[in-house]
Amino acid sequence: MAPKVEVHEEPSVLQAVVLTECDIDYGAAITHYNPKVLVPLANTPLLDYTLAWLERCGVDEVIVYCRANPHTDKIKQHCKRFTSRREECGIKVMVVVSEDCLNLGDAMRDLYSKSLLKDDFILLQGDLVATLNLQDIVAKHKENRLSDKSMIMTCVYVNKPLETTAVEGEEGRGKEVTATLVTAADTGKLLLHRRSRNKSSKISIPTELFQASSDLLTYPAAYDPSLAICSEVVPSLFSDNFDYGSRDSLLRGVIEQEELLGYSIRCQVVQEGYACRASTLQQYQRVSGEVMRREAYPMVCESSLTSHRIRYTYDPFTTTYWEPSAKFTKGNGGASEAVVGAGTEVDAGSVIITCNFRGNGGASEAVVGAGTEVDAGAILTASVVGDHCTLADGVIANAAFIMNNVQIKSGCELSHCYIGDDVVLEKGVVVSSGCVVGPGVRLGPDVTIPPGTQLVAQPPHHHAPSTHPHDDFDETARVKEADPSICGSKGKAFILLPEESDQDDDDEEEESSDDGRSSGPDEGDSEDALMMMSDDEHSENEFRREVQESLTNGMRKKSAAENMVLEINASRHAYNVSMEDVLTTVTQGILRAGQTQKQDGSTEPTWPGINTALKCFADVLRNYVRKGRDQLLVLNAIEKLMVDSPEYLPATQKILFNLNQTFEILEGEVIIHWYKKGGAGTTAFTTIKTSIAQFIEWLEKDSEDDDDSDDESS
Amino acid sequence: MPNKLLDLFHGSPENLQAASVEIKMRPEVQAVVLAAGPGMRMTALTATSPKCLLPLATLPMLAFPLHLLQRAGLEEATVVVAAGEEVRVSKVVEQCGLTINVDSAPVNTSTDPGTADSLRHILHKIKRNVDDVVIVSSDLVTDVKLQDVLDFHRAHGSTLTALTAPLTPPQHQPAPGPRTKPFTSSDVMVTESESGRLVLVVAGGDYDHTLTLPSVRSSKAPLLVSTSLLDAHLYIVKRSILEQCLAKESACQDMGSFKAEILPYIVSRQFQPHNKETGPDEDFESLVSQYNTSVVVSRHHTSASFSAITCYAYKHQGLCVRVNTIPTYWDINRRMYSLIDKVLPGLSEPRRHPSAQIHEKAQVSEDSVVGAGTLVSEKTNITSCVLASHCRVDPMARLSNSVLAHHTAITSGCVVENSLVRASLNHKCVLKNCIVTDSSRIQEGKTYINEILEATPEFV
Repeated sequence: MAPKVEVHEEPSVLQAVVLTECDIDYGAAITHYNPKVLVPLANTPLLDYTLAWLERCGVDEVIVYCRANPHTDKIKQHCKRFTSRREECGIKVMVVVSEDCLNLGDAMRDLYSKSLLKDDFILLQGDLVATLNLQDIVAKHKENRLSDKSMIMTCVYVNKPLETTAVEGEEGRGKEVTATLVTAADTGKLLLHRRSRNKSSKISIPTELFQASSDLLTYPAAYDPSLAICSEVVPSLFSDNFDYGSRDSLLRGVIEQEELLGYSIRCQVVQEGYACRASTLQQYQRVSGEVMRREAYPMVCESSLTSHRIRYTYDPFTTTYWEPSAKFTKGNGGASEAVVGAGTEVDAGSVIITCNFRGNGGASEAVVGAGTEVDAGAILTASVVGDHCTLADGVIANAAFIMNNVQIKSGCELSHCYIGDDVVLEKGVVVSSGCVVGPGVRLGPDVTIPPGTQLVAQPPHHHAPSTHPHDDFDETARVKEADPSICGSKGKAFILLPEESDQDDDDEEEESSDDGRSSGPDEGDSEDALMMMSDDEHSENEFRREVQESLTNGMRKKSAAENMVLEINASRHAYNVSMEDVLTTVTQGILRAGQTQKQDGSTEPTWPGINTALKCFADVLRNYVRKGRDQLLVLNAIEKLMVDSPEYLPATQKILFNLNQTFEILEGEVIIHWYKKGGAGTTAFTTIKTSIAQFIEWLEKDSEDDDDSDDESS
Repeated sequence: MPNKLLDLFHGSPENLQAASVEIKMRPEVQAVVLAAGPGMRMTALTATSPKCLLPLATLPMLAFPLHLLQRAGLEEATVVVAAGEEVRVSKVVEQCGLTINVDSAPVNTSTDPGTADSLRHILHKIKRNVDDVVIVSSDLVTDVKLQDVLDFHRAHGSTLTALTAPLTPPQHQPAPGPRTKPFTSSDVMVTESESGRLVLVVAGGDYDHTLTLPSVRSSKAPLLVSTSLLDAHLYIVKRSILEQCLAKESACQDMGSFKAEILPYIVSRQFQPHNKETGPDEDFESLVSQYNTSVVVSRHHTSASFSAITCYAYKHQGLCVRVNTIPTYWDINRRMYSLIDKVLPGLSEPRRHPSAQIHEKAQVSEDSVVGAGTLVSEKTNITSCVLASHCRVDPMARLSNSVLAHHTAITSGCVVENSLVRASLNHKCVLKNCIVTDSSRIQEGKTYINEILEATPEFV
């Protein structure tokens, strides 16, 4: 089929940004040698699916965005190869490399600063295999944008019909790939976006959303292919908000601060067409199966996506594809003659079961590359074999993904695994589910690889070789010898341990065989949890630092109280700190400001310094102290400060006296009450108690006098 | 009977005829009309007349649901009425020329019974051999074909089907009387957008900051959470489930309202994984899977479909109004001229009753409804009005956009605009946007605007 080039009359170029550093990868055993987007899926690199689709949809310019690492050149060369076959008017592919890009947000900020994005653009991940009608989606986006200027982004979701996702939705599609959406039924405006963490959890909808729209359309679990049509506002938003890391955080930010930002996001939930990300190995396997079953038509295995020539012979009865140069020995001329018994049935859970083969040398749902020899006694189901491989008699491969130049000797059993380039499997090797056999590994004879093992040819010594690949990897690797108990007597392989133990509780139901594979999404999860935990503390510290800074600056510049309050409140909103914490931080900050301002070297705070600080910020503090409870918080904050820095102790009495008498922020009664209740109950209180006893005594006397005088007057 | 049946097969045509008289089709549906409601949202009108007998144009409100049932071929309806009104209610049928048999069941309204209490009261009247019970409120005016709803109910194997329609604001505004806040329904109905399956029903703002949807794991269909759907208060319920819910020992025994309590309860029962009804099914299922390994579970086979209860909302796109507030009452009365063919098809109720006497010098606009026995004198001007039966409009009166109840006399010289008149105007006066239920407060020559002129309660 010829490339369909859309001739656009409009001057604007349609751009697409393809991120190659996808949020989840396949593990170091694969990605150390090959970037994820160039991992072949049904013998075609993943990136080609994306590029071919974008080309078909009339995209003019593709920006392939990648982080600087040794794979960058490979991606560049690949893109060059892809475009060199196109005419002048064909798709343009530009590879943009950045030094320090950790996530989507960084990429957006970088592209914004490079001002490469001109108009609406398509944002997607490089591992997406899709056939959606992008032109319609973009047209609708532009139309919506004309009618609603505040709309900045259209997120595309796929709501697949029941058949394909109902059952496998549970395990096959990970948590990251589905989202709970609540949209306004009339406009499609996104009102709520939530990652469905727990499948069984019920959906709760804030009823305040009814004010936005009387009819809400709720998608309990829409598949998220990480595809969005963005307006030029999106990159600027990312660069304005450095805390936006992912698209999700942008969604959250825009929805939560709708009144502030005045932006809105719409959703298009597409019912037709295919879209699935090969984000994890599980998904990779799933997408492979679906591509073989031609669900991603017109992107099918037999035609090369780069040149559009027909490269494989396709047999629709057994769903097999083979290169004409592939040999099926013992006269069993090709898989086409394999007799298929009961027809094939596709089971729902990402595992492809192929029924009853009769006769030898069969293949069903298989792709066999050029120059590969498959013995008649080998059985291939739902598998992909690359170029120049040899599969001997009796090899059983079920959902095995075999790359190029692989030798598999007789009696090997492979199921649900990934076999890298140049791997040699001696006789009788059993590779269990979820295994990844890295390039160049030798295994066997007669070993069984336990489920979920990742094997590499060189001993791993870097913690995370995928992220920091070193050139001297090979030299240092030679030191260690392979363990024959793992890889067999002729073998050469090392187990690559997962980067961290990542078994989540809620994954227990998952088959143990899938554990290794699921590491991708799980990792993301636990990392997220860690981030969340440290995030709170982190933001508190940040807030403290910021308040301290503004106070110190304010003291130097003698800023007006209301400006200070404004500044502190801004920080408060930025870090989402509670009012109580603000008061504590401000109180301690004021006292600390007195210290830092005066001293040069030694940190001992002196009373004059504190006094000037107090004078300076009395109004600021007064602004935050509104009720009796706030006064207690101030007192507690002072006490806690003493715990951290006892050098304030001598000044305590004076501080309290001034706050009470001079500034009238603290009431005598409250101080007495606080004193009698034992303060905040920290260790410092006993010492404070002694140091302020005199003041308290005086206060008590004073209040009694007051009472007396009151009595007299009445 | 078996002999008769045999005769039917070998018999002569006469026998056949005789048999067909004897064998009567079993009624599948029984209808219950809930007409004992006090009309709490329109007390200005219901103080003098039971709500179900308030006239819509020239017909009492109750005639509309009864005609709806009759159109669907039902021969009988049980009407729950407030005690003391049963005679007037049963007269409605003959007044309006309906053919449906009405079995009125009085309930004591002194204890302010809810709809569920009313249903409990007439539970014994529901025949054991019917499949479904149609519960309809007396204030429903709709052009839906009940037969369609019944077909939908049966086709989906539904346990409970509720009639819904888009909520439309009244066309004729403002309604007479003092300005009030528009009444908005805050019902929330959650349905699967395509199938119409009811997932959650929350009545009248009975929710908190969040609304928790049950987890519908079986389906990927989007859920439509709607606050703009009108629950028409027409339900088709399986008799078994209704009896279960109204039985003494059921979980709903303390529930007073069908709509606000029992309906949400039944809907929520759909998603309780182990309700009693599934017991035998599951046993059977496990036996099948144990002994018959060739059974392949179909892709439609989900645990949710096992649940004995499935509820649906029938989404009617046409007219559907609940006449339970003054604005809706006003609106439907004003629109009745154009609606009457739609909501009462086939019922011969001409817009100008033949017995009405309209003086040839009276100007009566084309879109006015004039009821039986109404007398319109000369030199009157009547535009877009509804004059119920036996009204009398004296000379020199001017009426526009107004609704007159039965037996209302308008004395000469009165000017009535946009008003609801339920009592005779014996004095010359000007009424604008008023509701009149007691004319003793009207003084000669005065002008009233935006007022409710009703009999003052005794305690004032």
